Amino acid sequence: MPTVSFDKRELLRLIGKDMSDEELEYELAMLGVVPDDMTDTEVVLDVTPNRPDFLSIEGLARGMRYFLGLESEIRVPVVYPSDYQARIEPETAKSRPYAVCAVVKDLEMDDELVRSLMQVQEKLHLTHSRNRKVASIGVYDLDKIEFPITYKVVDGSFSFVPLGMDREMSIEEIKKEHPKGVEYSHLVPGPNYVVWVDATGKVLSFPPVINSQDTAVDENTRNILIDVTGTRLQPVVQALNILVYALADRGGKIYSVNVEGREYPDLTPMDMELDPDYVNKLLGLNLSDGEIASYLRRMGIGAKDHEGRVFVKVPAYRSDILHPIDLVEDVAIAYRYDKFEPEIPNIATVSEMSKETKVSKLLGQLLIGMGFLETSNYHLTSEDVLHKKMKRSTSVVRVKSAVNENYTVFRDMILPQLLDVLSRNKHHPYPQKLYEIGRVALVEEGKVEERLHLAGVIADKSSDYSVAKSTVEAVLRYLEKPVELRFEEASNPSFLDGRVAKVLVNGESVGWVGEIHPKVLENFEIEMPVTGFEIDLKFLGWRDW
Amino acid sequence: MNLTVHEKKVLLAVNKGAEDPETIARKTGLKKDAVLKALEWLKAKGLISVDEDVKEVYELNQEGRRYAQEGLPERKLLELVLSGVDSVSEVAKKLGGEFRIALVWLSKLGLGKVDRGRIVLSEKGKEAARGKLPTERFLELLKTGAYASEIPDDLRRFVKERSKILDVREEKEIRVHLTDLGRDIVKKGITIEEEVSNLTPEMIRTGSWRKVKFRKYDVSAPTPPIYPGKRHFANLAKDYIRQIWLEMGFKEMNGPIVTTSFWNFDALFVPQDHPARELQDTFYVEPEYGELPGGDLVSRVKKAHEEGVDGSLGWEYEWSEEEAKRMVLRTHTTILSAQTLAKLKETELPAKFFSVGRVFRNEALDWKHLFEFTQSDGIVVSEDVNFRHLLGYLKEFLSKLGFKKVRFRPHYFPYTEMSVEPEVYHPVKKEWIELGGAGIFRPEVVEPLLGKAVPVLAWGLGVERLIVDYYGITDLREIYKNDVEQLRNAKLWWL
Repeated sequence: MPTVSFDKRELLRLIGKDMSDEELEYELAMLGVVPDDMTDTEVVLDVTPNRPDFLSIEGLARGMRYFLGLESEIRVPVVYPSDYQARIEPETAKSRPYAVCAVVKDLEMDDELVRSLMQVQEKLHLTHSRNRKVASIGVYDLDKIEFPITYKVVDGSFSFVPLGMDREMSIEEIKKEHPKGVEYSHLVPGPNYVVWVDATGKVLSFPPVINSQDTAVDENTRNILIDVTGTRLQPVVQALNILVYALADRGGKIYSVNVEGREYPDLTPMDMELDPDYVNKLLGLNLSDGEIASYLRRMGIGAKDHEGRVFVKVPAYRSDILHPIDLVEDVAIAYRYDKFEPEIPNIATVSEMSKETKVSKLLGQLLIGMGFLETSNYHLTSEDVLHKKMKRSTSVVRVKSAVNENYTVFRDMILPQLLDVLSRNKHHPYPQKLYEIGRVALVEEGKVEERLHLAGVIADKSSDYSVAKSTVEAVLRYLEKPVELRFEEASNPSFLDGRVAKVLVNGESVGWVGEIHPKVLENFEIEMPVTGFEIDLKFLGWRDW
Repeated sequence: MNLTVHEKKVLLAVNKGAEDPETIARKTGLKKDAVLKALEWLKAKGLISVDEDVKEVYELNQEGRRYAQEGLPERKLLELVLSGVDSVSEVAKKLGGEFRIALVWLSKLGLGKVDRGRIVLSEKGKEAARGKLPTERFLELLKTGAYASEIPDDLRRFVKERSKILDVREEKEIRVHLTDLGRDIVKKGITIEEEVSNLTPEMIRTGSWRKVKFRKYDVSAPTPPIYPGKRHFANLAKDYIRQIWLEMGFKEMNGPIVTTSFWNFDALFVPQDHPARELQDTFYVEPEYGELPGGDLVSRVKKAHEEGVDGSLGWEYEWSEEEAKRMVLRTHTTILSAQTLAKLKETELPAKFFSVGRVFRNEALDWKHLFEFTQSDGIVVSEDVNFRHLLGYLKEFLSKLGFKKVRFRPHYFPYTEMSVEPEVYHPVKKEWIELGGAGIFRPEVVEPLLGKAVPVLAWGLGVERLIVDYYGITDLREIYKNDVEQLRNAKLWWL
């Protein structure tokens, strides 16, 4: 979840209410923005992905003003018409198909605005825009640009002076040498790239990588052009709307840009209708139509009740509203979660344990009766434990890009992990008898097949084949339907030859029992004889899915 | 008074004049340890009094023991002279470093002297050479250790003069006497019956147990520990969690751990470019692709993503079937809720399900993060359930786990709306602990799976966080460490 940090005084100033730390923390939590940390000067917040508008201090302050009832009219910034034109060349559709723009004038570029603009841009890039993949934002000095501007395709030799540099670089050079180019080169594989240029051919930017130095914003800038380009229209438009709203809150005047016949930004609220019965039924409340409308307004959503319906206007920065259910949630948040009275409904249903749970419990009881301790291992383990130390090799499920290099394969056997547990417990008194019943995954002809295995080890001076065999017999003696159990001479590199048997249930091979090979014990650095067994419980039909 | 056989024997020996433990042991035939133990008890019972006296014991040190073995230097010198070797230079050569001390003692004991380069024995010397020298008698006496009182007057001087060959040790001497009460008891007569330590099958068969007396044990003495077979402590807690849901009428769900992205994400309306689907959070596996379910479920889910269902706008992007086929280790057991809904028929409503199972996240392992942990999910499917009911189930569940102070905060999950994050108050840490997620499944989730947008209360709570406090665990990794001592000693789940 994205974390943002805001200046606390600035936030309270924009909210327009003096609040104690506890009050601020509580109200933010109830709005769904969890304060991670709060110092004398700073508020650090976790912003959920459905509310990217809270990534800007202006947006959060606006949300809080509504939530606290300090403001109830839904403001839609005026978008002044203009002659600004942006052209989109059709070939751009292949690389980065969506591009929208807006102009904001008369900005007071003080430190706070610059800081806020940079933070919201960075956070929108990182989270909402999936690190610039889905959407990326550019901000330029309007007065350095000649309209119309054009979004067009170029090749890798195209060059300009990128931001922060004092010489022209080609796109290929930028990708290799410029820090931003290196960071984002995976998003622009080539050989074709998109750029914004103005009417004189001056380069604005190379999205989503870097802007040009020529059109950069400086301390004298008062009028700006914003562009958002990307791979999906909805997040692209939403990023633009969030920025424009925040700048309007700062006193900026919004001007439209005509992008291939469509005017942006389009801040027209979305009209929706809400059925009050739907709200009350889902929330278990009994709110009047007027109350519902008023709670929606607390969430910054325009709402009026009329003849048994609630008519809603969703501001253009709230693209998380996909369905009336999202409005119901906003009513619930405004009503406040801590005001709901929890209640258990009177719904009679019959309970039932899963077969896997039942099998594990019943067979586990027998092993516990025989003095076994139950272990609980991870399903992921290392190649070293599962294969190398066991002198075996099988085809298993492997995880990709595992953060923990000791846990890269999904076990297809439990016994190796039990031996690993023994090797880590050498300093505790023997005998040590351990068991585990759990999932393993086999790979058969490229397909994954999950099984339930039962495995046990007996580490003791007097541990030998006969004890292990008797244990297996005991475990399988009390089944619902008796099975025919046989032990067949066979060879297995993990066990000592002549002291290991294949276990057959009703004639089908289900596992192994025997004395662990001394070489295997040596590999695990165990200095005590160990016998072990592992049985595939498939014949019990434990799978109930 | 109740006396053991040992105590009786010791008491009688003391009565007959045995004063110290060695003598008592000899007279009673008991081991010294047993005597000391019995004396302690007799003293506690007021039957004897014990005087302690500290005595010095003289013993040979290393050098002394060597002399005892090889002979004293003066003895070696005597032997040489007697065998005819009497020139000083020759004797000195043979005795080496011991020559000087041998000569000193020769003259000190008046055994002989040096006369013009030769050693001449006195009459006393000649006589002594045939028997034992006083120093030799001293050495012999000290071989087994001797109290000061045991050293005869004529040898006492050697304690000082030959201090280099001996060690002095202090020894406590115990002297035991009967008290008046002890004498009374003895006067009244003490009878000793033989005791047996173990009841044998033989005794039961023959009835001979009737005639014997069983030795009393010290019932408070330590005995070797027994470690029974036991379930893993965390599984006891997980069983209890199952029991809570079962008692409320929930059916247990179950399903695969290795599964497709379709079930883990797409069926739950998680858009395909959602950050949670990235490699750093989710374990993707080899084999890389799995199979999608049959029927029209896939196309219904696709529609929900692309254009929405039940009046929703959807996510408005092009949904990829290939992406949905990618195999993952399930990141939440909410996947089981999705699979259950897909199998559920409208005629089976209302219905309640739960699960307890492992989930996987590609996270670094540390004290508060596991890459593999346990979740408990639940769903309640009914036209008549609402948000308050969701909070009701959560509150009840958490209360049964001992968490009385619970709060609900708004949150966001792609598949629920309302979305709630339940938190419990930790009275020691004085902070709210997040436990997972809950909510009402979005119509975009329910409609494609169930065929109709019925309200479905849903939750997925992290289990480990709920149980660590009970076991006093601060490092989550301890739960799956399988330390045998911890497994043997962990308390049972008593909630």
